[in-house]
Amino acid sequence: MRIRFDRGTLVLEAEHDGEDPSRIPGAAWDERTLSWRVPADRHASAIGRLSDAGGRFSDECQTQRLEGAWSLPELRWYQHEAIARWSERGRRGVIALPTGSGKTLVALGAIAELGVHALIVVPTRVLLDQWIERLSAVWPHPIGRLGDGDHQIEAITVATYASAVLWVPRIGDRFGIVIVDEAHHVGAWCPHEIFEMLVAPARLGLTATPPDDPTALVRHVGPVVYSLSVDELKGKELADYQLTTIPIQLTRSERVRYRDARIRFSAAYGPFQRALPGSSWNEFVRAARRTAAGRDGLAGWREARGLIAYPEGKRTALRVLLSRHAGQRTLVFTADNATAYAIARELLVMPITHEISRPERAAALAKFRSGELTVLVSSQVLDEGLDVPDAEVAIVVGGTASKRRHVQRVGRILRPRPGKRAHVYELAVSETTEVAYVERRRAGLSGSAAPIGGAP
Amino acid sequence: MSRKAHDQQSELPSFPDAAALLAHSARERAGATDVRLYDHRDLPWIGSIVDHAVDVLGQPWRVLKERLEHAPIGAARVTAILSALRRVLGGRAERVRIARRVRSLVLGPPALDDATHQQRLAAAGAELGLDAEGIRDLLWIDLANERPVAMPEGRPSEHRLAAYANLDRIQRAVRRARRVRLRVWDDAHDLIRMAARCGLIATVQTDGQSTTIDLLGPLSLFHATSVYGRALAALVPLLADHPRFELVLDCDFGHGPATLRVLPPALLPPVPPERGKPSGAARLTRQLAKLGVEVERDPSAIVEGREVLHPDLAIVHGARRRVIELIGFATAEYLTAKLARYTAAGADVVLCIAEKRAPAGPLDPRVFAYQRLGGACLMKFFEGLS
Repeated sequence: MRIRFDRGTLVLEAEHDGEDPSRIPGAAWDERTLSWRVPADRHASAIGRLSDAGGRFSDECQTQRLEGAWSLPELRWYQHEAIARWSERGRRGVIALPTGSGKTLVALGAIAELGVHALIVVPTRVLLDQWIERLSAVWPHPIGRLGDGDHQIEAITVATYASAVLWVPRIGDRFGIVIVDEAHHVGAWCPHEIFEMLVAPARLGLTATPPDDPTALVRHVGPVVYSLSVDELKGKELADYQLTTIPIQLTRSERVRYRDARIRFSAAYGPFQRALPGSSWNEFVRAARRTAAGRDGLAGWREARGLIAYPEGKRTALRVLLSRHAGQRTLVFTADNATAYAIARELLVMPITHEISRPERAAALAKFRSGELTVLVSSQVLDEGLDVPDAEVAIVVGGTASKRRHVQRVGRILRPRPGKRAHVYELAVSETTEVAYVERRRAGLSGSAAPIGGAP
Repeated sequence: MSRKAHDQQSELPSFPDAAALLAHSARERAGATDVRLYDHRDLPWIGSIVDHAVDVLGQPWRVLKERLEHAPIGAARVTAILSALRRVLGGRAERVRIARRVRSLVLGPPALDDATHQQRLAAAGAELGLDAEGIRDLLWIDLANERPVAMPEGRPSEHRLAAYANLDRIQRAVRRARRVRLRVWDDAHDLIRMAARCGLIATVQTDGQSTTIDLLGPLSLFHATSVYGRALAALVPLLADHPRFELVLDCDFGHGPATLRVLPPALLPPVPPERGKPSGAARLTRQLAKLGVEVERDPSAIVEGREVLHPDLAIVHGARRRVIELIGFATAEYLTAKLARYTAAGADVVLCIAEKRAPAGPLDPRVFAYQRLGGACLMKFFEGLS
């Protein structure tokens, strides 16, 4: 039997009498190309089946060994433990560690231990750059890069999710291990087909926040095989921190406008929910756009959201906090880009958004690292994965109820340093939907939050 | 129809009737729904969006968007035309350099009081020979909503905007498609060539008058997937060169399967010139021409029963006309079947396939398995055949 890789699948061809590709589990006849195929991720099971049956086969998807010497730093105890646990579980699984605890190093340790060609898939271009920078420091050979207009393939290649979808059909048989950064996105932002089209038998997912529904992740990467929480590492392997929620009062005119906007929204949303209980937000938006009342309701929702995103009270509190922590590296998180730009415009601080080009973003982060810039403001780009060493203060001006997002944001300032105590401030507008958001997302940091209260 | 009347017609039941509205959508989803592309009927409201853009020339895009929030035009339409307008007007790249330079001078530690704020702007202004207001204007001119609306080449035509908006709408739908069936009534060579370049598998059939191309990726054999959506979307711009077509998309927009159909007349932008690396066929054509071989790129399709064969080249060699098809990947069965079809159609064919992509074992003499495809080695192969 001959096994060849073609566009994300394995083509099985009988070479000798008595060989029958249809007996390989999952094999399907492709009438269009007159061939038997299985998805590439069935490679190991197909080989196993053929070996067990004692048949001869030629496998043209042989993974290559890495040639070169690593210069990895010493791993910490839990990093060793995590790799060991992953190896024991058949080298398939997810390691869940808090942001700042060195997940990247765990992955590099796993690649080095296995010594095979590796594909690393990451969600964003910022993370693509970051992984390449980290790899370049420990691996002496060129690093492949797929994404942001580049398409260079090497023994160790980093790809954005979007580029991986396009390239894996062509190169899916070259790697022995796949690393999935921010693995909680598998099955959603990160299409599961990437993993179906990869031969790589070893699969390692990295996340700080395993998904609520892990079905796709377990199926394509594996279950969580090792996990530690922020509290388990806080104070030793991660910086200690204090979380303070600051209640914000709307001004009289803001309150009137907010109430009016919410009334307009409720006038549309309430009847819709009563007519179709359990319908989704998207269904509401679709229906609302078709009537004048619905459009007014949506406009009310947008206005209310805009009002609490950055009202006068938040402006004042932000200035006070920045003044209190003057000179300390501070990350300001907002609910949307518009607010990030509003803050950048008012305070002349650098925004980090998807619209800021890669070189400018990189330059800004370098200045932040060196201390030339002390404040960065962002709505989403800084949320996940970005390695910002030595930020000490996070100010959450606005956000959603997402626990995952909040844990990621707080994680940005937890990289350890002797004597470091980080500060997280959440600004929440009283008597608005923000209060519920804050309460819901704080559950993600259970046991670590200080009580709400206290003006800045 | 007046704009008001048009808007009233598009009004659907109010919220107490929302259940009826969703039921109506579900009925639409049950069968194939024809996509209504923008056409001459839409030019008035597209024109009014352009009028708004002209009114705010020099002001940030967000001002235009805010104005349009109050216009009696559906949000989806506004979004589609604004997106087309941005595409047609362009101009971001030149502003990135300026804005970046200004930001590098102005942005720094937080300016917590007015004096520091003004001082920072003034210092940057002195460096660039501008006043503080000028600096403020330049600081964000590269951002989508902050850059000024500009029409350096004059007012764009409503037709052109409708065409780009249509292209975008079809491509968005195709990106969500799990299967695409395309029927054309003229030469389908460009579509088949693009499908092959994108790694798609095309099944091509004819009823004598039209050609039907069924497009899927290999993984679709195992389950429905939209992972090939981006590759499939690459075919859409080519439809502008086909006066008569039928595009049928099996999609899933998250509410169960839906079938969409796109039919002409379709206002689409002209087909863009081919970009990127030339295809293997293009390179081979050039090399053969350099060798003085009479070569024809994309010869006419060859029909054999309901099947249609699309060779990449035809050459005249030793007074014989031979067609050449470049094969990406094949099993022995596939090559045998392909050769049989060409033979049945009476065509003299050579199939070219990379050695590593070819089936193991002896190959038919008409199959040229190469390590590196070039004009000279192909001609040598032909000498052997003769």
